[in-house]
Amino acid sequence: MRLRRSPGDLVAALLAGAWRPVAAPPALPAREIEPVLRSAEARLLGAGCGPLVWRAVATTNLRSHASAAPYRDAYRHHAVHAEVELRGIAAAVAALREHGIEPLLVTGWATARLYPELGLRPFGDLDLCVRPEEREAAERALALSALAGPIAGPIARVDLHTSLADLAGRSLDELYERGALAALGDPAATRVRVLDAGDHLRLLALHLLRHGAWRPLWLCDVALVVERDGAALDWDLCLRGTRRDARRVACVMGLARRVLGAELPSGLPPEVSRAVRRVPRWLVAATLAQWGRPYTRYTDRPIATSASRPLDLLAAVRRRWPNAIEATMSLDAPFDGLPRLPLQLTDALRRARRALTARRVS
Amino acid sequence: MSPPPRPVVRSDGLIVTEAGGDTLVYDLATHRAHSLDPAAARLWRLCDGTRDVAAVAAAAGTSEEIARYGLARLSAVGLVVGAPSDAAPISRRALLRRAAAVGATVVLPVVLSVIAPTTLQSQASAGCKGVPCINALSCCALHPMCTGRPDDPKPGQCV
Repeated sequence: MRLRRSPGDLVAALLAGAWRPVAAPPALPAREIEPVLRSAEARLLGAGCGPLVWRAVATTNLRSHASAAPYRDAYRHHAVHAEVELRGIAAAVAALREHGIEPLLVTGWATARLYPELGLRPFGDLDLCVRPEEREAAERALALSALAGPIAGPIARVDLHTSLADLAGRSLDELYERGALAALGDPAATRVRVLDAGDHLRLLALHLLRHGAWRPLWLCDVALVVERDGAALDWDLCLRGTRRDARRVACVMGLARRVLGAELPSGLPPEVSRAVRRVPRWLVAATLAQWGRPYTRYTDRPIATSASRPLDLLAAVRRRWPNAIEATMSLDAPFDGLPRLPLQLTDALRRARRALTARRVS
Repeated sequence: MSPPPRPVVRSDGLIVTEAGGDTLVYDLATHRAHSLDPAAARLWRLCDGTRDVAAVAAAAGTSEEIARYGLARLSAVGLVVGAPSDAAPISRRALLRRAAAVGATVVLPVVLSVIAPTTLQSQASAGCKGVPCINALSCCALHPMCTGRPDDPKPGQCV
């Protein structure tokens, strides 16, 4: 008897291997692909997975089918918009350098550039790290540049950071020093400082967990970096810090292997290999469950608006129920094999208390 | 008699890239993107201001009627200037019908507008920080909180 696949399983099957230089066709029988493209369209496009799905589907005879058209459109849209965003990034970096500020570009383009084509991985927000003492000057420089530049959009969306929570224990100086200059590919041949592959992988993995793994794209990012750079990675540097965080990073690598079929390099340190092989079952289940439903938890009406209607209130509480991954991260609990329900309950109560306190204050 | 028009590619304010065999063009003036299939892209690149429509058609290896149709499409989205303006431009359907009548196969140049993804997708990929909102429903998952209050008609911002 063949087991019925869950919606999350189907998403994983569509995306498995789509990040590779030669995209793998979806790991699904042809007759199952078309219904998935239709039923998961809003979720996949909403999570920015459209271009990667198109890349996988384009290897099949569904490439000219109507159900594939929205994914092809998303691919075209992001491919051309990536070129526009590049000019915005170049302008922002040039504006900062004019004032003697060297930024470090994290996530977004820094990840998208590793894909076989730039448009496969949508990026929008420009996250730039600057030294704390340079922050004010950086804000001024960007404000001036946004007024003067012809492409103001991307510059207006710069997020300036002076530290990175997911890279705690690493000084900015250290990150700058280990980082490398990467060619942006814009007409001015700008080179931008980006994180070293090990720091980048750590950031991607912990960021994914902190946000409950809701975007499948984030796990594709991890799979891509591990496959592309894993063999040459300095694992001691990547995993330096608390054992708990090191295990979390290894768990995400194991998750990428289990769910998306990522190929991990040989020669991993023994403790990483162990953690990769022992990915908690709840982590896989929570990830696939999250991929199978819309991310409505935070885009919902304020819960207070449902207070007078018990059924609506119940539905609102259900939508706000923290997923096991977020609850574990929020309570800084270990990624072990123990049940997650107590953590989810504690996290939900903590959030409720916070919401009530905030309501009283306001 | 005036000389036949020699269409020329608009060269300023365009960003051009290739993806999946198509040529994608982003117009910085209108902030619209267009996708040209290989046939349309070939016509477009041949518009260097030295050829009239017949010469463009000959260089592209197509009929003058099809070249005229393609140039009209390129001109309509502002990618070509100086294309001949026909009083009654031929439609795609009429061209296909004519080809079918003589048992010929034609490759019509295709110029499509690149459709923006759904709001949610653009929010998920670009974030909605700072976007005006009335409640959390108006914000995306990356910046899920709205600074506006339900009892205040003034909009807040997604943070």
